[in-house]
Amino acid sequence: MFSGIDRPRQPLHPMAGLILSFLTLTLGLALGQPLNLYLFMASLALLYLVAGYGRTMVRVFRLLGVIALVVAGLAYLAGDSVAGSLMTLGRIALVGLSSVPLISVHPTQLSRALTQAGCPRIIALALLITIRFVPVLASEMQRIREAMTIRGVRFHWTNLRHVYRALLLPLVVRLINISDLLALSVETRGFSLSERGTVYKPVRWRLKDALVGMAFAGVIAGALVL
Amino acid sequence: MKTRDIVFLAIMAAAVTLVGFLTIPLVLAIPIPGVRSVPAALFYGLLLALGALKVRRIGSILAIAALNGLVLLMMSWIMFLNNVIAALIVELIVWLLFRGYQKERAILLGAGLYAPLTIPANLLVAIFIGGEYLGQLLATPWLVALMLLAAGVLGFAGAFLGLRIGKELNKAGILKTA
Repeated sequence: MFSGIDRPRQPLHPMAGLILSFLTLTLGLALGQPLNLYLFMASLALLYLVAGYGRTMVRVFRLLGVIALVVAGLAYLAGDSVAGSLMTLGRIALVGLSSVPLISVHPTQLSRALTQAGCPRIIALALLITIRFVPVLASEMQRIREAMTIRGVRFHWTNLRHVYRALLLPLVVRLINISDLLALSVETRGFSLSERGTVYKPVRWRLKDALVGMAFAGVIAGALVL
Repeated sequence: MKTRDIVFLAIMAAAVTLVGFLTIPLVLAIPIPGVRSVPAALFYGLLLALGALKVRRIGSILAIAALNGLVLLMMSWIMFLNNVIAALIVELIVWLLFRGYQKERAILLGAGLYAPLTIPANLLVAIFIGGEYLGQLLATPWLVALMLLAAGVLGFAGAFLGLRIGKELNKAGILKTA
């Protein structure tokens, strides 16, 4: 889903990822004891590891781990109990864990799965553009900063005139240009909102989805017993 | 809504998502309820104002917020709900007062209100979920009010800036507003 995220060789069906993600967070939030929450997360981490999401998990927790530790540490210093701080740490880790099956979905696969599921084309197209263009816009910002450096502009975030003239205006102009070009490109390729779309390469459910689903149901049953 | 409008709103949503990714981690470790809405407020106001300026229909701000929320849904449905609830309240207020985004005041109000409204939206979601976050929100109401004020000031400043940029680009023939 996002740039720089390692994807497994055979990712889960996007809809399976969506369901797993939703259930992971919902059930995790419902668990009131730190031990239960950590057992639940450990079981899921093992399941995702077996399903091929090991590298994705490492990537997610490398980003989120520091933040989670700082937040939990601050909560402890602010007078929270050890159990409370552990719960805070666990809940932040839970957000990371719940994101694992979905952030590794390729945007095109998600768009295809949504179209197959009967989702309106307007939503599938808009979502695809939104996801695809987050890294594009990040690189555009970088380009604008590089252009300023080349021209010798001494940019200061505290100088509002600089921020307005040298960053915001060029960025907004780029956004509008990208939008116009993309709209033209979509229209010239015959995209129509009024007609029902076809999927070039349908996304199929596989045995792996069923197996992971069953194992996940087992983890949920265990969590409910706890 | 035309394909062109949807593409523009989707690009704006991508920019809103990017702003969130860049600014929210800066304050994630600060244990003040509602602080996450503050650093992004200026940019949210600006981008939403541009979106509503170009696509002057009821639902423009909701479309941007919902698309941003759908990306965040990949991580947590709570973030999705926060965005959508705030945008729904904004659209309702704008519809009740102005019936659309034809007037600039409507755009200013809608785009400016979005960021501060994510804090009460957060409260609504916290009531639904329960847990200690709701307790944190209610334990320090003055701090929440301060965050609301900060997000409001920045949100309206961003919306004002967005309108100003929009007018300038309209004069230059780059942004065609209805």
